[in-house]
Amino acid sequence: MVSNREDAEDLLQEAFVQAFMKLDTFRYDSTFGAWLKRIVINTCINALNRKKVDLRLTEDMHHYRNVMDEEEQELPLTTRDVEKAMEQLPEGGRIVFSLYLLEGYDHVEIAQILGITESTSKSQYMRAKRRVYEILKEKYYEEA
Amino acid sequence: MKKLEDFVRSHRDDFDLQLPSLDTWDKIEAKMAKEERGKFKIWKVSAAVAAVLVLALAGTFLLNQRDNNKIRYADIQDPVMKNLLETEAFYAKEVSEKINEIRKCYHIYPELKMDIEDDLLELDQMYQELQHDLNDNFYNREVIEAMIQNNRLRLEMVDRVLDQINC
Repeated sequence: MVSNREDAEDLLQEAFVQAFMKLDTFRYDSTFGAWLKRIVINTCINALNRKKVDLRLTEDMHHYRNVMDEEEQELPLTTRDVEKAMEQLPEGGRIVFSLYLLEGYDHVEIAQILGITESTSKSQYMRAKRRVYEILKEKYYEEA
Repeated sequence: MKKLEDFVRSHRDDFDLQLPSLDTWDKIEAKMAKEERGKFKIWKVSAAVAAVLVLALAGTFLLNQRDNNKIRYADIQDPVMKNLLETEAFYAKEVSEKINEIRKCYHIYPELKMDIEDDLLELDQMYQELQHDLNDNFYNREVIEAMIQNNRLRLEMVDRVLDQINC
């Protein structure tokens, strides 16, 4: 959700404090894990909002080449490289990417969590995924 | 890029390799202690405010009672009036119960407090005026109907708030 370790640690602490304070609002209508996860995510989103990151737009001007699935070449993938590539994503894209792919929320849920439309979530995700792929490819060719 | 997705999904657990540092719990504990202190302060302030309100309410109540000794609900014979008054009492009770429920949640949503209290205060002032009118002219059906209407409004509002805060 955030791109560096210090922020992540701070947010983890903050989220746990929030969770302890709100413990009496846990209603058993989801698992405790899911409830806690939502608190962590909301804490992250609030922190990003405080930093005035606009999660809606990031409609950046960067024009991506149309790398649709046609040039699906075998890239040697490692989790470390994917993580590094994710760190380079713009905030909005990174959040949608990790909520969808890592945390397993669907676009309806992401739209609700971030207060955006479902189609924005989808296009953000597509764009982020494409960007990750491009970064990985660039890195691959650089090293080759 | 399907491959990328598949790769991430099949290696999902490898993305969770970073562990929080060892002092995380200590830091959480320290932050909790700070929050608790803050909460206690707010709690003390609200307790003081509540005490003043209770006193003020008790005062007005006693004054009103002295004025209104002439009115006794049991004396009302007209069934229509009786019915209206009962409805009014029912709504009033419902509203005050729900308001109490909302007030219990203020510590979780302190930002709500001002907004809700403002709106409630406005409606409450109207309600008090109506009650005053009723005391002046007891057999006034319009006044009672207006009171019921006012209570319905407040009920709607508190229901909406309760729905939203989910606490």
